[in-house]
Amino acid sequence: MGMEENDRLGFLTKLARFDWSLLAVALALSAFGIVVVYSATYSSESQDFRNAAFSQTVWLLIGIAVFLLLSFIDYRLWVKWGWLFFLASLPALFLVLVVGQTVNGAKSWLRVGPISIEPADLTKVGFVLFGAWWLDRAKSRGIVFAAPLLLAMAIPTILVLKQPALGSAGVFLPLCFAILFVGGLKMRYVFLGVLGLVGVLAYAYLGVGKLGWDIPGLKPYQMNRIRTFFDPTLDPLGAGWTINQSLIAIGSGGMTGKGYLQGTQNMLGFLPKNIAYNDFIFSVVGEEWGFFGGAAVIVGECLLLLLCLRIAFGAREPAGRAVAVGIATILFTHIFVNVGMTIKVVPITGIPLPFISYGGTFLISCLAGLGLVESVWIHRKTKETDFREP
Amino acid sequence: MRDPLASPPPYRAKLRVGIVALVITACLALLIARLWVLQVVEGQTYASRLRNQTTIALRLDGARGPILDRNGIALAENRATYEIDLYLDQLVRDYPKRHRGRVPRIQVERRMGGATLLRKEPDIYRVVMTDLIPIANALHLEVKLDPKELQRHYFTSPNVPFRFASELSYVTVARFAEQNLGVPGIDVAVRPVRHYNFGAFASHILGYVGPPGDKERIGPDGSDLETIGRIGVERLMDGQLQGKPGGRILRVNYRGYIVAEEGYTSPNLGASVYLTLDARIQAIVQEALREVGRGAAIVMDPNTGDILAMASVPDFDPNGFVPKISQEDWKRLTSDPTRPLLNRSVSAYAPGSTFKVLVSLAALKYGAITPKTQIYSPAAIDIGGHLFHDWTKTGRGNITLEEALQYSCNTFFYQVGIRTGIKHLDEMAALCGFGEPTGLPYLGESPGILPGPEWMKIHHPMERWTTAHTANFSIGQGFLEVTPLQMVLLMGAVANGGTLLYPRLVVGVTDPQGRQLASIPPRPRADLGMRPQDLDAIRKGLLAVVESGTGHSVAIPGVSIAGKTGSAQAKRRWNGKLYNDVRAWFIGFTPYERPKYVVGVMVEGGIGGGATAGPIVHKILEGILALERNGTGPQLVYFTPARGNFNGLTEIQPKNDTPQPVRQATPVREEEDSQESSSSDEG
Repeated sequence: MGMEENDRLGFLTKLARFDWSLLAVALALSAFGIVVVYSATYSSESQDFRNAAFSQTVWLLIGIAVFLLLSFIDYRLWVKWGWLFFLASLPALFLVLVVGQTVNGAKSWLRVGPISIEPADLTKVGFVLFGAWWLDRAKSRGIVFAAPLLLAMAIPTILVLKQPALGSAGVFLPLCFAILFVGGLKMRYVFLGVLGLVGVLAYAYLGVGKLGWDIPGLKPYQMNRIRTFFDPTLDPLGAGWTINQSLIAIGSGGMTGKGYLQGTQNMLGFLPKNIAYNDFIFSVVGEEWGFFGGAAVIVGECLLLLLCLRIAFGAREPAGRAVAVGIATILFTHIFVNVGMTIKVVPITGIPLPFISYGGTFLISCLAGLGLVESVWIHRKTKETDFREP
Repeated sequence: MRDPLASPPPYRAKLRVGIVALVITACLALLIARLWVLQVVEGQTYASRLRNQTTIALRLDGARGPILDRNGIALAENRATYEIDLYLDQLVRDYPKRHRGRVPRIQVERRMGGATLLRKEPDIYRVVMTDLIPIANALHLEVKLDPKELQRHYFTSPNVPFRFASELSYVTVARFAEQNLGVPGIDVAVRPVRHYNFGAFASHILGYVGPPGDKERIGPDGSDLETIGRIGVERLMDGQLQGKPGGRILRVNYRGYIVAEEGYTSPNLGASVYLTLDARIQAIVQEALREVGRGAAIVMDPNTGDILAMASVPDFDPNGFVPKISQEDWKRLTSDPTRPLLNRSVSAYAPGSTFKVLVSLAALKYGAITPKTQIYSPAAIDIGGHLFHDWTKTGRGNITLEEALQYSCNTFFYQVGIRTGIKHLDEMAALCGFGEPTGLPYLGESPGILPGPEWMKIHHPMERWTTAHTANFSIGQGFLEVTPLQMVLLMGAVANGGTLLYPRLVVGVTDPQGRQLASIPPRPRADLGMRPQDLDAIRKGLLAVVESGTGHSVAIPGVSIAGKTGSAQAKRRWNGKLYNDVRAWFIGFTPYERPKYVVGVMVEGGIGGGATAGPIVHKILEGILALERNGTGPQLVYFTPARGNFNGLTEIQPKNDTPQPVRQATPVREEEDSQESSSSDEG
């Protein structure tokens, strides 16, 4: 294997190959996130809320350390044991169903000493490593290639749905698709997948949205959320409250916003305080920073994703490409679903906005993911490393 | 190298990464597009929804503007009252915080758009009582609230404070402030309320204010009204007088708790309305008229149509209507048979001989007679088989118009009226505005009745208009009814040389800073189209009335006064008996050469024009002359209401079994002089 050879790169060589732009964009987004978290929490009566911006700063520092550490370790070490990471993350998903803390109606959190962690976040990264590992192993690019990944995907998806955390569960499917796609899945299966996606969208829009069908297996409150997504006026004081208040917050922000710390929706509690600083942080951005601020955040996140994909583009080896695309897809799904739910593009699900939302383990997870991507970049094959190829 | 067969099939990996990048970018671009729609295209909608849910508005009442006389003497102003106001919305919103519990709710029936709905609403009565009882106990105030009324108020106008107690004593207010008894939503407020400075003074003109009815609650600018003008100038000029309400904008949080005051607009005083009335002359007139039990008096400037004074007896104190008239007082006013609320100045009565002025105008204008025409006027003449009497038993012989006016000769005017013809009489009367309102809205004005052949067909289809009717019409009897104001306007036209004017009551409107907002100029209504020599003949006759005729009681040495008396027969049923209720009139002007005042007095239950109305006019003119000489009028005092009575009625003894109809088409003899009125009966 080439791992040993590459790892013989000296620290200074690695430092020279370091892609600073990835870290710079991530840090810029995270710093802005802390600024917004402060605005979302400073007027709160609870000390815990008011400490949020400071805590987030501490988490960010830890996250940067994790990022740097992972950057300089050859990602192939993780890929080699990818199956193990994935399997090891699954018991935590079982455990959370039994002893997890219930937050907003879902048992998603495990309390470990002073901190709470969301096992689903670990599983997502674990699945990326597992996918990359399988990519190296699988000889075909047909059913035999796709089926094990799809099966593996189903396990965490079902477990996370049990919590029930619809948003988090929904990350695995696009993640799996992306790995299969860039891993070289035959085009006919890709078309099949796209067809399936179109079918699901049509079902959701026409069947659930227009004809009022129920989605089998969903809890009533989840179904309500989806119904109010299609018509927020159904229950403006109940299920539709959050989306309505989010739309009012963002809509009233207008082009330039009301100014930092001037958002009334959050301050007066129309946007519930316990979600304004995490899942609905984008509503605070939209109200206080307006269209310019909101669009800037989306462009910033997009830039970060494109930087990841640039690394995937430059990777000459399927596993590295899969890691970069996988991490990018996880981030993208979070961004799209999170921003989308605040502006009524997708139904409300409880998932945070990478780098902006408050949340220690999620921020660290995101930075860890980026660290892996950075590692792909540093340890990529180039002319200077080619001679070491066997 | 690996075994080529064992390797995955080749594919274009970079292309696929590129496709992923494209898909991701497209999706995020979609979000930005949606964000644009939300924030830029629909931003205003959401901004207003935000305003609606985060602010509530409380109303502060504006004070009504004053009503002043032509010289700036305030007749109606505001005085301060202290009261306890309940801001219901605020009490409900603050309830959970203050009492650590949910707002109590009750089921209420509401009619909404035709359907009756059962709604859960805050139990406003319980909410109010929770906060109010301790305060009321501390102030020794009795709490008497109607839960229904409270609930209705909360539903219809939650932002208008509910008045719990008004007219608080100063001691109570001081205690409230000292003990700091207020809670947010229960405040002592100083509220301006209407005050009529001189009591029962021009009350029929000023009118009064009252709380609005359900449909009148919303003003033209969309604000809730606290009081509205009910009648009179208060009603006529309500739009100008209404003060502009101010308000407090309060910011509320998601639970509806008030967190801050966001804005304050101070309430404004309404505009000032200047009337043509001269308070001094009004006082003179009211003093003079008080002596009678029922009557009306008007003083007008014949050059402008300005109403300088207008009084009606009995009258009322409009302060009794503020802030709200009590049931008993209202009942007393409306059930009084002398009808204090009736504005007699603009109510319709038979004019009697005063109407001969109009007959003269018509006869001369249409050439039925000239000023020199002599007509033989005996004690009685036969018209259509009936004897029509003069009020003297001797007759006047051959007389001209001038003498006929001077002595109010009935037989002369029967003949002149018939010569002129009812068509021309009606034409002239219509030109002079009889049979229609003069144009003073909201004073309770009657159009009067101008009868004629056409009118007869509509109102008495079984009868036909005859010369007997015309004869009766010619002496102001029969179906004819006119208002004192109409007569004064007619006399004004005679005085000013032939121009009929519209009456003017409002001179102009100024804002509280004194800037003029509107001014209302005098307005001519019609040119009577009289030849000067014809008008002169009438004026000479009218001058003779006061100098040596029926109206001598008016005369003031050294002052030239012209006018016409009238005594119209009317019958009134009262307590089951039939009475003669003579309407005694005098309408005149002075000075003769350059008239400045037209004065009209009508007394119900009088003896006759010269005997009853004349002395009152005399008194009024004396007062006005004194005013002109000294420049100072009578002391303006607080007037108590003038009481009405039925003095002066003479009972009619039924002669035959069939009672006479109250108003009859058959000739009614005119009696001009008091001495003979009781001695002569109609044949």
